[in-house]
Amino acid sequence: MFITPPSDTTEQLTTEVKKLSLEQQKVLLMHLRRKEIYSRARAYDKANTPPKMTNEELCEIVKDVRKKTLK
Amino acid sequence: MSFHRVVLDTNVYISSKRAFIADIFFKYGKTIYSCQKQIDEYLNVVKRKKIAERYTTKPDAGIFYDVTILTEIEERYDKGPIEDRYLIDLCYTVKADYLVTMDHGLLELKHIGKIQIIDLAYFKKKILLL
Repeated sequence: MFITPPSDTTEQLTTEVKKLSLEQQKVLLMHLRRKEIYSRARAYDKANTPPKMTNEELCEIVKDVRKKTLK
Repeated sequence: MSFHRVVLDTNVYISSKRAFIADIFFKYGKTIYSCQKQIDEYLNVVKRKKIAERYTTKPDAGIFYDVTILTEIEERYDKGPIEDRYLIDLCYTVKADYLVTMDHGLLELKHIGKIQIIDLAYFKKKILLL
């Protein structure tokens, strides 16, 4: 990406982004979106430990929820 | 990197780290499909005591909105356990290549039409080549 680093203010950054072509802006947006999703996912993983149970136990819980939803 | 359409069973979402689910989409380029029914199911499962006690944050289904394509299901599959049918319908609707699950009942089917039903270990090893 071709933004002149470092841009101190949002205004400066906006000016720099506006200089990019539409295609480059799209790439930048996708990059930022991906970064945001990963950071959210990692924060969630850090805060929540996967359940301590066997696959069978987990599948049983999912199955049970499924059956109850049908009723 | 080959293009594949994938449906992950709810048990896969629960047992996997979210960063891994994001990897399936971003790093390995697989398109993941889901539906509102699965999101509701996920939120009901994570509320169950045995699972909820391991979580410190409020359950949210953010990962579905972030990396999956939410689809309206066409109900057409009429065989097998009724409770699993929506998942098969989802696979049919999106013309999925793989249904990844840990459920033995579904795994025993091996495939339904062109949809291959595989477990997480096989998916990692043979499809993601991990």
